[in-house]
Amino acid sequence: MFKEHTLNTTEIIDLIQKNTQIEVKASENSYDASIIVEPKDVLPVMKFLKLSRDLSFKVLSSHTAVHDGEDFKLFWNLLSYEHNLETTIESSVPVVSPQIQSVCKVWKAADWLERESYDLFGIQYIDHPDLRRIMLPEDWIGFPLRKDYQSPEGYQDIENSRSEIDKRFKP
Amino acid sequence: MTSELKTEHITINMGPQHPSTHGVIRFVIKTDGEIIHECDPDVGYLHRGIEKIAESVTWQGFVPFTDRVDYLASMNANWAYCMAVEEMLGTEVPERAEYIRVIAGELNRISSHLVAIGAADMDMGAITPFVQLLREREYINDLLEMICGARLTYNYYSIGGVNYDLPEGFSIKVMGFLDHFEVAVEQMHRLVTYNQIFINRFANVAAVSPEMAMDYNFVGPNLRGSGVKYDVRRNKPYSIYDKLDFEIPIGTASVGTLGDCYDRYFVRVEEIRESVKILRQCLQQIPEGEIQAKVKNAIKPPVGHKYIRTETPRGDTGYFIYSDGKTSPSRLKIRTGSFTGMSIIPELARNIFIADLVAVIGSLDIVAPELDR
Repeated sequence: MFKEHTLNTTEIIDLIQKNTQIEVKASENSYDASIIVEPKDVLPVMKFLKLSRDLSFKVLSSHTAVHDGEDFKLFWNLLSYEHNLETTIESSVPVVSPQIQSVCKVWKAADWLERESYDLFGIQYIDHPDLRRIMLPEDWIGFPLRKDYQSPEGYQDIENSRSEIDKRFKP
Repeated sequence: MTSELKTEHITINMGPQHPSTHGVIRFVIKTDGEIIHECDPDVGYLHRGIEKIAESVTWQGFVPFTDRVDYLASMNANWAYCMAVEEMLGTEVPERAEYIRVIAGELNRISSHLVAIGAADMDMGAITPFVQLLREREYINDLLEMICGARLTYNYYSIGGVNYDLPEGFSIKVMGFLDHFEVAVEQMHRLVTYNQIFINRFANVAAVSPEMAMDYNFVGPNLRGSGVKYDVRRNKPYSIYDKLDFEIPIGTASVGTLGDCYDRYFVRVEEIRESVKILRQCLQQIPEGEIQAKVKNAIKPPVGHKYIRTETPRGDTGYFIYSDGKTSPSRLKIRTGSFTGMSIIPELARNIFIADLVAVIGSLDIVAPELDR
């Protein structure tokens, strides 16, 4: 089942461009090579990567976002057990309107991973079947993993301030 | 007359404080009598914001936090993070340290699987195996206490090696334990694995096909229980696993359907035996030498992102790290086996008995702090 066969990122990019006619490019990164895809092209590229016989990326290993200045960088880590392949897809959306197509239709694992990054970053996934908070309470305000997030002063009846004893103590 | 009788759907809460949910998890269940119509897992009760904490501590300072991600297998959690940072820095770990890491990691894997198996048994109403297996786990805790002084959250691995060398007489003690343990595993088999009551509760319940397992990103023993032969230790070898001889057990549908609760359970039992094999080899081959590579005090990995996967007891754990060249990570995402395993519950729990949901959760080996982080 596991052939000794490894396509590199350039070959994967060639396959994508030949079969889908979508412009993608390799990113410059010190570690893992990744493929940069425009936000509007994410869904078709993902569908191709999963269904292609030569690649068959049947597993979405991880998906997350990174708050980097004006943009959210989005990363999808894909695995192919059949061909023992690994790749990273990268895209970016602006912080002011963080909208991207959901890939739930391609992999079911995307459901909770997208809910998590909606919860912690506030990224809106279009066509997600059930986009609501997963880790935090439903009535939580703000998205904690954004760099400009301010911790709230309290939540319901719980105060988030230092106690009087704590303030007086000076080591 | 009978056709006019209708039952109403009742919504009930299973948890957050429920003995068989393995931590603080809530299941909102819509039932039709004893049969589950709809199940919605409500997670997040143990969300401590570990990923946010990572952004404000130093690279070395985050190692103790990884202990708290998965308290049943802290060694492996330490290892996953340390390895990710080492890959980013390009640090070569000394060979002796690699052997020590494998020994500690595999001991911890056994102890984690013992809890998984024991807790699954206890959920099914068998208290004796749980107590017996926890006794075995205590011996492993003693061994791990010998090497690092802690019994649950070890903080033993450091970036570039391990914190302490093995104490004197350690390998003799481990060998003695393994001799005893192999007999204990046989005893456990007689008590549980081939027990007809247990088989009836686990076989043919909530079967997951290989396609479904991959679609939901099942990892580790859960994935292999569905018959997919994939283990990071074998398919993308790290540390010294390519030098070691061990098998990858997979589900075989020995008593039920492929990928049912029994298969997932059985893969764990078999993995314990393989870990014993690995431990014996490591103890024979371990060389003398350094245990810590030279690592600068203030680590600043170059800008970029890295995704590293290691095989922990709950499967392939991925650390996605995004560095902006500062003294702490810009973003650190931990993708754990429990999280993806849990997302299958709404689909698996449809049209099964409430008592079977307990079996499913037990067989998936979900650890709540790892799920919520």
